[in-house]
Amino acid sequence: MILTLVIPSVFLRGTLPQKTATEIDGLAKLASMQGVAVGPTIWNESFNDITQWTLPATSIPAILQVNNLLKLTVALPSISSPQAISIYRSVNLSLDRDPLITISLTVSSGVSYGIRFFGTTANNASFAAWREGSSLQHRPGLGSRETISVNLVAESSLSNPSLSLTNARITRVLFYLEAPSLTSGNFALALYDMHVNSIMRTPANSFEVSGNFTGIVADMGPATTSQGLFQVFVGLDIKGSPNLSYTLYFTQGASVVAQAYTYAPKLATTYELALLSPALVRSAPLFTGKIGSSSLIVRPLAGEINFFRLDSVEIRFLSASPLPQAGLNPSNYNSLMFYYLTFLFVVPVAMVSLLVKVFKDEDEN
Amino acid sequence: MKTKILATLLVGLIARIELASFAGHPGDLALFAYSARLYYESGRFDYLFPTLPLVYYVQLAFYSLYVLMRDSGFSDLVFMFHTNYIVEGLFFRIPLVLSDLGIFALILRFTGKLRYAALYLLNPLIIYLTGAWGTYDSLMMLPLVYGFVLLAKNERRLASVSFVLAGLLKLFGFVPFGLLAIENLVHRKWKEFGIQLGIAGGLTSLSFAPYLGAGLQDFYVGFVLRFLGLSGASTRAYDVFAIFSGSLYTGSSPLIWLGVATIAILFVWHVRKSSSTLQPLLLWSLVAAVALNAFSQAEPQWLSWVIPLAILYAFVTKRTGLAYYSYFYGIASTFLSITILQSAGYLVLGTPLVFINAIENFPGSVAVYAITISSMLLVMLGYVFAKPVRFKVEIVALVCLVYLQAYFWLSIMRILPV
Repeated sequence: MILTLVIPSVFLRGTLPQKTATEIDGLAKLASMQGVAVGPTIWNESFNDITQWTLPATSIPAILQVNNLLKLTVALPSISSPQAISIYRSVNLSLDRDPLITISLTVSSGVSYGIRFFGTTANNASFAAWREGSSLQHRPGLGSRETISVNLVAESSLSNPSLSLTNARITRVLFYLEAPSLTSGNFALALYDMHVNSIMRTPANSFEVSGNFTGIVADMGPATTSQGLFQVFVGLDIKGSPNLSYTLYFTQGASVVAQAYTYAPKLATTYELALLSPALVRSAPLFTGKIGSSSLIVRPLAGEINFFRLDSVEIRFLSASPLPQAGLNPSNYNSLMFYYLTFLFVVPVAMVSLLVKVFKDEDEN
Repeated sequence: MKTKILATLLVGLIARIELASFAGHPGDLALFAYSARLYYESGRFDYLFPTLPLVYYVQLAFYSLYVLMRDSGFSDLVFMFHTNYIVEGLFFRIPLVLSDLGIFALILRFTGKLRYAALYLLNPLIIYLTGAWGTYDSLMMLPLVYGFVLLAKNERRLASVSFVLAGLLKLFGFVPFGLLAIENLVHRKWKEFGIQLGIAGGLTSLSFAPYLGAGLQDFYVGFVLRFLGLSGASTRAYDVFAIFSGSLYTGSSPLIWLGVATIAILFVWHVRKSSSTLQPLLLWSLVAAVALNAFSQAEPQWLSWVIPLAILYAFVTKRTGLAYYSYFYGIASTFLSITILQSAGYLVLGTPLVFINAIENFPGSVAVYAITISSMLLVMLGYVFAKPVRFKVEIVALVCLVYLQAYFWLSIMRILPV
């Protein structure tokens, strides 16, 4: 019995003509690697000039105050349609300087808010550097202070994948508050800090880099298709501050196509074999690689990285499932569920009940 | 009697095959399919196969039959949003279904009662894991159960081999193996202890040998540290301690080591008093399975380990109530796993799909799951340690009450931020 299974498994090895499971050595494709850190502040909002801010005309009663912080207070009436109000200011941030904007704010609970950026290209064409589905949109107000960092190149790229961002600038930043219908009462948006840093990149010597970094970006060469991407295994050596915890991203341009679990250095070894999967994507990196490249990005969630070495990268593809056929549409799902539950619960329980009745006298034996 | 056995076998078999023909865990089956296809398509051995190596060998062996079909021109199809082909999924189930049938036969031979064997084969949790999910826990439970049967016949060395094989499929098999080793030490059977360790060392080395060629670093981090719970990755835990201590993603609780030490000490105390090895070994293996589900990640499939152990212990100690309770426990665990952890449509359609929001998609659902499961495990310990009692419908009501209370306080009243 065992031999009848072992012999075919030896002789049939490598005989399937299909190529549905493939693996490529990512390390062989590595173009460059950089240690990344937050650089000097290149712009700062001082919150002492209210004329810099614009509150568009609105029917919603609102007060805008600027005094070392910005406070927008609104009194929402109870109406049957959703309500929204926004404020904005002009800025002049060159995307060539790789700007990273950090915003500290509080928004009352009960309403939602969002942050939107707008810019112009080198040819003075306007573009919106925000997109629906981004974590910057429709965020619920927490009633407590939040700090948000946004990579403006990544946001611009994700919103405009085919746009050339060379010599482009961000020209406006906008905040909005929104509430569903029948929400009433006083709500506020308070901005405590808004500043922009440049990003400093330290090139690595071959596969390793040392210094104080808040990220590692490895350029894995021209973007390969993410179609059928199954897993990425990354072997790495990492050292950092005692509180270091980090995650990894695999990106195509600015889009995250796979993410790892959260890892912390172990006592036993500095080596880690990290698993990245499309199913684990739940956030985005602060630093991105080249727009036309695949990148592997290490992002500390706490602490900083002092040493990093890339030992191996295995990128795995499993052929994508064909699209579901029309034979089973949502209206048939209930029938399928009924069938499923019948064989899972009804048939076995009925059989056991029958057996227990039949063998009732066994209890006394 | 033969007709009843055949009828039971047929129902167990049909239920599994029917479910396996369309359902499956898209994540797990994609992992299995990838590794098997990599081997048979490009000839590459997958050193990063996510489970213990023996599982991979078994899967490759049975998959070769599927390869024969594909090589002879058979074309397979994907159902709905699943990640594997339909017939391919069936071939992954063959060793699991055979294991279930093997366990059924072992329990039947050991107890001589079809009722006990049927309580295993027709347990919805076992059917769910083998037929619908496609995970390999029954593959581990076959040598585990066989080990206890061999021990009952005083075949201690063969029992050790059987437990090691179970441990090489899922580490839990090393629990009875370790307890048996402790028992050898307690009774100063040095030679037996040495032979036992030799068997374990030999089989383990043999099993891992192909992996060592891929480099010790990946082997150490990918296997040794991961399977000892010392991995750097923070994966999700479903146990009650993780949920209420806010350490949902920090791996096993340190309390697990306290639990392991306590079980070892209590086993030594028990084995010194007992004239039999089987009963203490069964009892403390069962308690260890409960402890693992309470203190570590508590994956839903781990809940199945207690079922064959409870049935064997029920027979050995004449606790019919425990055997029946293990059946109810299987039904309830399946219901909770389907509704809370996966969504009803997940295994069926291959993508998460909620059918009834009120029981599938509610705030604090994982906490409700953990509390209900912990309560059921506690009731099981009650059946194990208290004097033998019949299984009563009040127990069903009690578990329902725990579920509803947890639902009320944690999901509706939101008294805790879980």
